[in-house]
Amino acid sequence: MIIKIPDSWLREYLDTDATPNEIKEFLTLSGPTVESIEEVSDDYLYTIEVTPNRVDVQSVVGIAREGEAILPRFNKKAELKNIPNNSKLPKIPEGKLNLTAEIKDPKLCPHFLAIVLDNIEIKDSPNFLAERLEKSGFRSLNNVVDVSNYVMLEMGQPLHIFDYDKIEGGIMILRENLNGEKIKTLDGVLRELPLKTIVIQDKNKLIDLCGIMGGENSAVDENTKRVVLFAQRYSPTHIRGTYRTLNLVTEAALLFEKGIDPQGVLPAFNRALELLKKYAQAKIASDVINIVNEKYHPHSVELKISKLQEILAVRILVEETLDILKSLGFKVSLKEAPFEAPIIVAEVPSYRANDVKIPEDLIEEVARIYGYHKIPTLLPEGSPPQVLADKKFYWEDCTKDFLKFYGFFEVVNFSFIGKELLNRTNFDEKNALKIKNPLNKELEYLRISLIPHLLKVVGENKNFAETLKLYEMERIYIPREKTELGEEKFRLSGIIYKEQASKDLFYEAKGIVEGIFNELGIKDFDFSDLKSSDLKELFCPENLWHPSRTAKISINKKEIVGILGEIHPQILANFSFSGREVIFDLDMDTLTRAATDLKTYKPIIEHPPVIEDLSLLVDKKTPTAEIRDALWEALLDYKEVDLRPSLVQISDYYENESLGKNKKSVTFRIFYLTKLRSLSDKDTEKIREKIIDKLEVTFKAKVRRK
Amino acid sequence: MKQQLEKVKKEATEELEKASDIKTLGEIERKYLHKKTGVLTALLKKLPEIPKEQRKALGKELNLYKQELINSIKKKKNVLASEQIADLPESEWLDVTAPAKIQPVGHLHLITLTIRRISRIFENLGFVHRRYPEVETDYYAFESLNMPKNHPARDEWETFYITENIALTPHTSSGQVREMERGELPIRFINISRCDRRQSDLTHLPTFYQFEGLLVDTNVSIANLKGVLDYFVKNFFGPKREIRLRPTDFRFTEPSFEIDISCSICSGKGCKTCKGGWMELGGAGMVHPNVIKAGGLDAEKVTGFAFGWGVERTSMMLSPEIKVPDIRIIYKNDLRFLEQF
Repeated sequence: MIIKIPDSWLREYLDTDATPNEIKEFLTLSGPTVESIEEVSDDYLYTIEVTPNRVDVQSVVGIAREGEAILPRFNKKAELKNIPNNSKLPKIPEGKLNLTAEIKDPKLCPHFLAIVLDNIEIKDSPNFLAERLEKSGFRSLNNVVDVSNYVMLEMGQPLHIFDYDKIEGGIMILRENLNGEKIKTLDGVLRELPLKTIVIQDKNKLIDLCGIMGGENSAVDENTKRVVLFAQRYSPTHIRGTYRTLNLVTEAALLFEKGIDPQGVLPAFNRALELLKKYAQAKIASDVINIVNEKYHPHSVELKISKLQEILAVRILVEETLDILKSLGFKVSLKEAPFEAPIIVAEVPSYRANDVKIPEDLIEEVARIYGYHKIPTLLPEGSPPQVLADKKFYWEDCTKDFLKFYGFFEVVNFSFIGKELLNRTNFDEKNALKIKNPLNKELEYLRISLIPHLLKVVGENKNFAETLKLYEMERIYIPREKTELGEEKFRLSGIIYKEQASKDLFYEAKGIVEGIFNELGIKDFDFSDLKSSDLKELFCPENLWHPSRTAKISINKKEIVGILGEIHPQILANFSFSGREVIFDLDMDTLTRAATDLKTYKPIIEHPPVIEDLSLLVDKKTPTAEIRDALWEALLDYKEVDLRPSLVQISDYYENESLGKNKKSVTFRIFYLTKLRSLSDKDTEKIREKIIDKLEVTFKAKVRRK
Repeated sequence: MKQQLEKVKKEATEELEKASDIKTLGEIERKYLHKKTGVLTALLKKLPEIPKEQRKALGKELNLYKQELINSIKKKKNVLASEQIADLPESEWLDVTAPAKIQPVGHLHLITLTIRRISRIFENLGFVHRRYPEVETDYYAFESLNMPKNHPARDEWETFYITENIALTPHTSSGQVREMERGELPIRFINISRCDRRQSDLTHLPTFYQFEGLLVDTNVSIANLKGVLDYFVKNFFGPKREIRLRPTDFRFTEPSFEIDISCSICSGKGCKTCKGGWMELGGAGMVHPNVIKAGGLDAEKVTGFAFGWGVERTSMMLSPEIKVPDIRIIYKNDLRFLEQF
């Protein structure tokens, strides 16, 4: 909440030798933040930010009170003067006009004050008053309406002034609204009111939307001769509910919703009366209606000086603490406590009644006036935390670094997704968490996969590069039972897109995935054909993936950690891609749990290996990994020497019509190696025969001779 | 044989003279001196066939010549080598200003870079990185943080809801009570996470990253909070930057502070880019006793402080050059934006 206060107005109530710049600086350090000072005509204007807890400084008098407490701490003279605080009810009426009031529910209105004034002469406000209002952001209308705004700004108490002659029957009934009731407010808008709105009716009609804006039908106009001056407190939750629902934010509403000074209604009422008499020739013409539904009792808060000293890390004295609290309007005393320093008892001033309730509130008061800038700057002591760092953050960083150095751009998307984009990638929005109050249709669901956004981002960027490598690492949200929180899973989805792509693209992406596993120290991983029964576990819809270019990835023989593959061409058509892509979609929670930086050392064998290439002709669909595994097994089965240090690589792989229909050629490069001695050609000949026997039987493989 | 030797000498001398590089020298060496196939070696091998009376003299001559040839080759090699080195500037000249062969390296997102910088600084102070739910119960997101039912942040204009009791956390503070509930003191955590609020304009995003530090222990003071913030600001923004605390109001802390840092341009004197020398960084405060109680701890015995603010804004405050006119570009994933970081 921002208020604008002219310097001249502030100085009417605060006697100080501080310059406007000093006031700005010192108030900001210890009280409400003064955002700026502007020079306007022959005055200065402060723009001040008032926090929600400090409704008491949302006024000229409130800021003056802060000045009196704060400025002397910076060696500036500052004393309050002329504060309007007349708390006596106005004297005997001079006329006898009738006004009656009734409050249906006392909780709606803790304090109600009204009086009829006669002899009103509507004209322009005096210059000083109109100018101050305009500087503070209010439009000057006439001498009567201006008074209500002026006193509100000055004292933080909203007021309202009705045209008495527009109140039928001289009767005001304050109550909650009935379903369907409407009122045309001062701004000319006919408003249908939400339930639990406080209204006033006269004999026949609604005349006031209480605490927010008056009714048009009872407003003061140029012909007004008699008025009702009106001041009260309202139930803050009612005011808040109504103005939020109507989205009708007024100064009065913002004051009432926070709970204004319970002792402040009458002084403001008297101040307005004084100004109306002075500037509108008002004469009192009725009894004062003064209904007090809630009697105010001041409360006290206790504070131990030891606690204060601990929080401030300063040996502040009891004497100084008392001085500070007194300067803020607290009534202080000391209560003897056995075996420790006396306890400070502070009676809270009425204008801070809603704000200061516990010892910590008093600590804040003392600390800010003492000066946060005077508190030392120290690093915390104490023992180290028991909870150690979770290594997953480290592994996530490793993975991101790996991807960066392999050319990947990291993208970041909102947590939300729309039905349209979900459906475009075959995801069913029913499987996603739905936002009750979304900002718009595109932000209606929480993401169940990072893939739709990746495809979208590729679509938006494909004109900038022939190859795109992108990834996102963030949460997805899997719904559970309705009453439960969704499950949040940390996921990595990456894409390689190329305008010109062969099926090597798949193997390029596979290399990236294996590279990540290597980076994470995961040695035991496996790629196999994706089955539709796996989809649910992977949170994937049917037909998202290419039917024959997709692999399921598992680690440690059982845990499925993700998918590598192309997106189904039908889905790609929805994104108008001209090139092709391969995506990897990995469960980071499982991967970072499995990750390890434990390394083992195998002694290096100094004698050279015997290297041989073995080319095989097999059926096209024979999984290469299975041939390699069988070959390896045959090596290990060879009992005459221990071949475990050997190495098997796939050195060449191709399909070609000259090989025969549905055939492919796979070439393995075998590094025969044993710990104890160099192998001879004779050794490898025997081993090779065993291998070939096995592969011929298992895969009907034929050895190709070059 | 004598004639053969003379012929060899002549040939070898000619070849040596002609040789203009080290490779050719190697070939000459191989041709004449190879242990098995060298021409001179062959002659030497034939010695036993020579009549005894000539053998000794011939043998001596052969060996002398072999040594001579070895020396000549070596000499020539040295000559060539130094010539080659002398010629290096010409023969191996490169245009070093020609464009580099760029390896296709990718980019981390600005947010990731900023999060890393932030968390490393706090790790040095023993703060442990933690992660908490983004979709959270009303209790952890608000109730336990001393935010009553009618608090503005809780209403449907400001916070996204899944159900009445499940919200998207609008702040990282939702992790505070969960961390305290573990019951292990002292707590020093840093929670950097996604948050969501019902907002979207030039300076606000519906999804954004916040970070939050929490320290709960015995004997924790405002001085300690100042110490931690000062350490962070000097490490993150530079050794000359100062902090100041201003009074403000948050529900989950008491007292509560706004944290300002001195402006990098005017060092706190006041200039066009800052408000009177200071720039707003974020919020902080001493943990409210109601929050400590909600975490199952004894508010009489332990105290704590918390601080936090937005990651995107912090990244932009780090360098005045990263001033984007519309913050939404950070989430647009335009490659031309991403490749700048």
